[in-house]
Amino acid sequence: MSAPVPHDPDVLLDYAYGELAPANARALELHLQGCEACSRSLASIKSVRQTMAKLPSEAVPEAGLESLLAYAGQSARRAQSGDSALPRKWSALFAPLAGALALGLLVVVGVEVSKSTELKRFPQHEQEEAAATPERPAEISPAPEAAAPSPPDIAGADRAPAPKTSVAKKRAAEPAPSSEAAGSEGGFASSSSGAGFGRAADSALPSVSAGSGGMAAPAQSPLAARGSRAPSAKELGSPSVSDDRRPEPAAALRSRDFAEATHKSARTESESAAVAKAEARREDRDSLDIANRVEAEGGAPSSALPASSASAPRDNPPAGLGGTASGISARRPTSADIAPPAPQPATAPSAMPVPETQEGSVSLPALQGAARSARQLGHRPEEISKWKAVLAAGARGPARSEALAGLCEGKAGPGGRTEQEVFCGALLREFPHHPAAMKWKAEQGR
Amino acid sequence: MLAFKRGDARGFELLVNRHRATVFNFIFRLAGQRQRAEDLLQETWLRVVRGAPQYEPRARFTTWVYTLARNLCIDSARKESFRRTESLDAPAGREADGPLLGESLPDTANPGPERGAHQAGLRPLLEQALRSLPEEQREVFLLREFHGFAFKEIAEVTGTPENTVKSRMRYALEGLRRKLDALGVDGEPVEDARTVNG
Repeated sequence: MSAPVPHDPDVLLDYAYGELAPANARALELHLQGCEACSRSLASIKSVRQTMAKLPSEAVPEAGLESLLAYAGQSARRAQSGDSALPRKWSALFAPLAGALALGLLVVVGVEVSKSTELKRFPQHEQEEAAATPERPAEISPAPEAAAPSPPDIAGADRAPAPKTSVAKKRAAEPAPSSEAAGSEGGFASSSSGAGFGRAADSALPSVSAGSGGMAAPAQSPLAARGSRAPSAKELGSPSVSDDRRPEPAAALRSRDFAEATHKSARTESESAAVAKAEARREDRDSLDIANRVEAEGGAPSSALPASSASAPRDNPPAGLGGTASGISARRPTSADIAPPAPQPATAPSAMPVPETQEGSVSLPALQGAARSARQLGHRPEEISKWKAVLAAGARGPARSEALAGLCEGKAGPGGRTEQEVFCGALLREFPHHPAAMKWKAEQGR
Repeated sequence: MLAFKRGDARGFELLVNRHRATVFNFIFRLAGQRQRAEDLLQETWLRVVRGAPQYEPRARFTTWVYTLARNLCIDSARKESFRRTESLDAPAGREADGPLLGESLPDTANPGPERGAHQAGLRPLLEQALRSLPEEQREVFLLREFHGFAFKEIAEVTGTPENTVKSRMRYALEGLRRKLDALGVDGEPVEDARTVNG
């Protein structure tokens, strides 16, 4: 160290703690003899040190010493055997491998599960998108009176023009497997036909029907959807309403093709989301589907679900319903409901059996209450009509099961056993554990 | 330490026996709470065990151990700062109606003759004076005064330049002098001074 700088506090500190070199220390001592300030500073330092030196030591705790020594001994043994580094190397090597393996397994399982799930759902997906779309415009504003659809029968519906979907377009290039298929694909849901669900779908959700590509939800009619439900029901092992009624329609074949096509195509998340959405809407569509079928297959028109006929007075549209008279005005409005309804030609051919109900504007709980009251009073026809109205109003979950059970149980209504069986079948398919469904199944077994 | 690194458990035992008490005192004075100091002491030595395979004798073993201890104290103080801090207005005990913490401290305004620097109450006064220092000054003072670390070694432990260490030491000494004066503690020389002259 160089010669100490006079009045340098650091030098004083070094000197006080004995860190100053002997030569410098001697020089500083000479300086201190003539410098009172430095002497005072040094005295202050010494005073504080002497005072603080009286602070006694704290007793060190014995707790933990044994365990510490044991741990150290164990560590020392590992170090001695030299195996401490080896496991680390192996673990460093195997940890990523094991992680990658687990991840791969997870991906494989996920893909398999997704495959199996979508195989079951895609046929439904097609129909659900189709069935969901026509429901919407009914709540917005009533269509022109001239556009009131006349209720066609099932056969007429089958001959109706096909919806403009990507699948339909794809199939249009191929030869129809049968005349029925051709008729079906001719399209009853064409936007130009202006009748029934197909028109409603086009008017309410133009983007869905026009812009659907690939896996996008096509705007299909409920009939096509009904046809496409057949393979799905088979896969699920549950009886299909369509199967026991008539031969597999072309729509079913088409939906099968659609399923194959979709199976081949890459599944994206948006597609899965669309499937999930469609699944959520399935029950709504089913209610309309069943109601339509019953009406078309000879079910007696009821006050609750009056089947609009070609001769139906067009100057008396159902209250609260749109021009399509879909009987679904009780549904909650969706964003698609905002879309303005397309103008509908007055001479629109009837394409679909559309249940109409005077209770279209009545709330679902009110309909349920009316049905229950009718049951308590023993008015079976009225009860049936109310339950049908509940179904047509888009009942879901318990309300739907109750309605189906109400239509399934008891004495056959005006529609006869056939109609009752349809509802029972639907109940069994959708709510297999429902007491009424199980009872009906047992009866069928006998 | 090198012996322990090679697998000699007795080497570690020797180290513990030699340094455990001083390391504990350093931690205790720095952390301020006995229970916390015990935990930190255990953690410090556990880190010594875990760090033995990577230990390189580039500096004194004590420098390394005190560095570990100091860092643990700082981490603990940071965690503690997030917790509720006791106020002088808060009850000292668990009882809500107990004496206030400020009341339990020595009467610094009127140090009577019974509270002289050489009386039995000297220790809490010295501890209070020490606690009054900022942490960075306190650690320097402790390492220099009670553990014999040279300023250069303190600079290694604290990771600060030596000049900064000396500056902090001067501030610490000055702060202690003022605090001791305020507490009425004089600086009579004692024969059994414990401080280390380096």
